[in-house]
Amino acid sequence: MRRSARFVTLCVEEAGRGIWFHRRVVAPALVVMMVSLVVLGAFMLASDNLNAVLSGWRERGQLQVFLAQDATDTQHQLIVAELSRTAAVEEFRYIGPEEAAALFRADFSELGEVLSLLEENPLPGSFAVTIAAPMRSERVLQQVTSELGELPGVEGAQYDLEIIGRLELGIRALRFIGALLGGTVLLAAMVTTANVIRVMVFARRREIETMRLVGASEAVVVGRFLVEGGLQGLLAGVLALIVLLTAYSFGLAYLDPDSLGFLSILPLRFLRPTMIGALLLSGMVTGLVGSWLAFGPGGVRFD
Amino acid sequence: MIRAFHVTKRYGSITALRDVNVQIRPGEFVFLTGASGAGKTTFLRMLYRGELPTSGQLIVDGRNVATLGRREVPKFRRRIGLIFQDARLIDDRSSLENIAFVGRVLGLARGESRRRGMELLKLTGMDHRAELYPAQLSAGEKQRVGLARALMSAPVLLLADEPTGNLDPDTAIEMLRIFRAINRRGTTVVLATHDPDMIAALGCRTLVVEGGRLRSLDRPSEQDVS
Repeated sequence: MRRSARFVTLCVEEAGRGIWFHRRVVAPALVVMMVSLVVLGAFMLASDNLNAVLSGWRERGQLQVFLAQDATDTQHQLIVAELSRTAAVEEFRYIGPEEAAALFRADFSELGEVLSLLEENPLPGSFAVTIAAPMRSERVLQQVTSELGELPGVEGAQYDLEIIGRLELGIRALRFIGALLGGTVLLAAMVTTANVIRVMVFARRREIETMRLVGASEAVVVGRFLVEGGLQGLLAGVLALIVLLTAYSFGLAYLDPDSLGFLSILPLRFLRPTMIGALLLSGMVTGLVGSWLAFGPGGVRFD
Repeated sequence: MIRAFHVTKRYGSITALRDVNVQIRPGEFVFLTGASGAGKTTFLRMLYRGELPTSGQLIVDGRNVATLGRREVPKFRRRIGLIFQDARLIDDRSSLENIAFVGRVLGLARGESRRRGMELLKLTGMDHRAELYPAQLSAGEKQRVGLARALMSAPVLLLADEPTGNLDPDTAIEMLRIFRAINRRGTTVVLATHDPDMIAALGCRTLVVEGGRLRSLDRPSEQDVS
């Protein structure tokens, strides 16, 4: 084995030994890091799933044409004719007020009861229009929506991209909050790790001095603590993933889909491998930086 | 092996060592003695660059300790074996692990470090205690493990600071016998002690530290060093 590989092995072994023998001191830093990574992972999970919904909607290229309550049969036929004539329209389907109410009840079981309390069904009839795949651009959708919206008997027309736009804004806000909250807790985790490493270094000063006296280089002494921080972060990342996966599986297995309301229509999935990698890397970097802080300006000095 | 030219060590206004001039040849066995606080430990610490001389030149193993770069110090120390009064073993490692660690620091593979560690434990008569932790060892056993650890890097110079200070007379004599055997293999030994019996028993050259000054006695009697 090459000398550099032996050096890395030695640092990793020493770090592992340090974590195991001082597990009670390490535990608080590990918990803080794990909690921060769970927060970060939860936001990643939510944002990824919402993104999946968005891309699904984008691919669908659908718009809705809502009829006025007083629309006549002639106007209805005129709209059908216009939809059949429009080249960009691949297909369309009429959804009557009763079907709309049934769909609403299915999607929003709790709110569905409200409809029963009303004397009249307030939901208008509508057309669900699908734009041909090659023409699913925002410009075409906007144009078709605008033209259909001006037809007599039409209350209004709306395409998914409007909803997507609003949702994207929501997802961006969610990401921002996630990054802010996750960043703050990760920063706290870094400081905690730095303090834990400092405490460990002070507690093991005699041992460190002995290591130096037998000829251990600063690279071995400091490297071992840096690796220790990185390993703590990696361990916290693995624990955070276990917590997230458990919560996710528990949620899927035990939550009643009807009680999820809007969420029940989401094609839920766990974090993708790249995100799992990113989360583990965040943990490692947090631990490594925290450990480095312990030796940085104002940190532990051996000379 | 060791040459000191007008070496002085001060701590603020206190002068611990004053104008020390001494030479220790390779393969020599030298006692360093003096009353507590006379400056024995300070002298030893300077030899392994635990302290720097305030003035003068100190050459150890061909290197001027004052001009050693930060990165050169570990390599320099790997040529020197250190033994302390309290052994300074790492508590959370077994006897063998304490010794093997030095091998790992030197760049040896784990298996090779353990094999050599075991050989050294046999040499010091501690192979039957290889898996015990320092807390499970007596003072004499700890010192033997400390000695085995000091030998792991095959040092050219062995510095021992009161290695028999905590030991009963029989164990102390046994330790001294091991030191003498190591010295006969060619390793230079500097052993700090204030035990006149031990010095008289071996009759080696002795450096006496008194009031910060160092004088050399070739074959001291018990009276010279008491």
